[in-house]
Amino acid sequence: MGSSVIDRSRSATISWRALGTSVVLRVTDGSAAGVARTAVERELAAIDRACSRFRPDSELMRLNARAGRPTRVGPVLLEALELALRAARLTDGDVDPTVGRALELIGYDRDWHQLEPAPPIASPLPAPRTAARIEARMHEGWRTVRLDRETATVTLRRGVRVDLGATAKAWAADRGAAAAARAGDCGSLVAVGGDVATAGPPPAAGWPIRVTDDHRDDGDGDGLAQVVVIFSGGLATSSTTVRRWKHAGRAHHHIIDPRSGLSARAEWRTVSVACADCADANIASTAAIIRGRAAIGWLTELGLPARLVAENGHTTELAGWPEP
Amino acid sequence: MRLGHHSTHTRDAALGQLSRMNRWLVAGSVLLTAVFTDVAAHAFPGKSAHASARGRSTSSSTSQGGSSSTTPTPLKPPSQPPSGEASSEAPPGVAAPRSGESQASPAPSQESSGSSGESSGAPAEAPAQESHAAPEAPSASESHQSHESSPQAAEPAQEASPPVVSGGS
Repeated sequence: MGSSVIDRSRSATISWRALGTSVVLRVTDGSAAGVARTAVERELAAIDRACSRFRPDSELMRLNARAGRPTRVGPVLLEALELALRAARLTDGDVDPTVGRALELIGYDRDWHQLEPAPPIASPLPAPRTAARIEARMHEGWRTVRLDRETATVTLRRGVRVDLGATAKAWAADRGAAAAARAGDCGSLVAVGGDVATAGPPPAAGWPIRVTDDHRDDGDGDGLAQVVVIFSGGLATSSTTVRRWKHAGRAHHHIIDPRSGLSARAEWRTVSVACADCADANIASTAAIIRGRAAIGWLTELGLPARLVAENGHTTELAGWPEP
Repeated sequence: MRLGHHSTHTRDAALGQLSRMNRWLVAGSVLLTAVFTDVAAHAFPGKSAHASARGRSTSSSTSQGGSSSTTPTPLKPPSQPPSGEASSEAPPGVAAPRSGESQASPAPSQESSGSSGESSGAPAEAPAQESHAAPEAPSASESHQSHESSPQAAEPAQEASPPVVSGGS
């Protein structure tokens, strides 16, 4: 039996794919790995059903299709939307869930694995195409989303498309880690596409995390990777060097500046932030990419430990982030 | 004379009519401007240059984008900032690592020096005695599972787990 090789004194790590990306679960109690994984899978499946922009049967697809009319949504999507709007408010609109239409306009209208890949480098982005920019701006605006908590009803303005890519994965990691810790009665770490959340008692030596450009990177990330240790909370990394594609002969990446409706012109190739939870960390890291140099003052003022990697590889550590 | 008198009356009447039409046109223009302004204000809401990123409080359960029903919780820093791998210290309430544990982890400079010959995502500093793929994964065949020695139960050299990667996705 499998149980004969499971030892409570050993931690366990499991990885699989979900939400279109990789998932890593680590628990401090190896005997709890099975129930912890089941708990995480349940959370991720619920979030996928509610929040996917590419599943025809997802609640989000239905909400987007009914833009202009009040739509009742389930508790998972409602909470995801509240988090996305909170992100927009906290960043003064830099992290905006209504960039779905802008993403479609620059070609991100299907699972990104089906898109023509662009080189994984932070090359200069194209000049904004006026028509696309204007159309995107016409349809965007997190302030226009009406959300009624009591009736669980959401109304999008006609033409608006919501995309929860900037917050949902990190939120999924938070929920997954909490569920795993509860189910397994142990410490847990869940990484969803490189966004890391922890819950429960940590290992004595903490959770070691390698921050780098690409969450699929096993090496030293062109010499720019760094290993840090956290004991609680979450750590998220946003990067313009991954999830890049070509559309109409131009290169794009997935971090959209809502003010232009186009991929952000990044001063930073990669930003990592640690927070009390992974969702907050991801909000901060995404906003930092969009804010450019202004992110230094913003993150410092908020006291969020962060590491910002410039295009030329120079790193800036803030608010207690360890020096390499 | 009669014709001239009639002509004057006709002219005055026409001028009076024009004057009334002008007044209606001005009033209509003002009204239309107000209507269009209201429509545009609702369709394209602006925001103050000094708009707070923290939102505003109201008593309604309905929120419309920024004018939320509740003040959003600010972004919260971690209880303890990340530490460099070699100098990691357990926070209060967590069993402090034994002295050998720090030694089991290489210095950060070693981390970024590259790790040739890695396989299965484990970096070079991963403990050599770490056992992989002990039990079967609970479900999906694409998954893989590994067990590492617990910090509480094993020798220092066995204690460190390979880092989990945080990167863009």
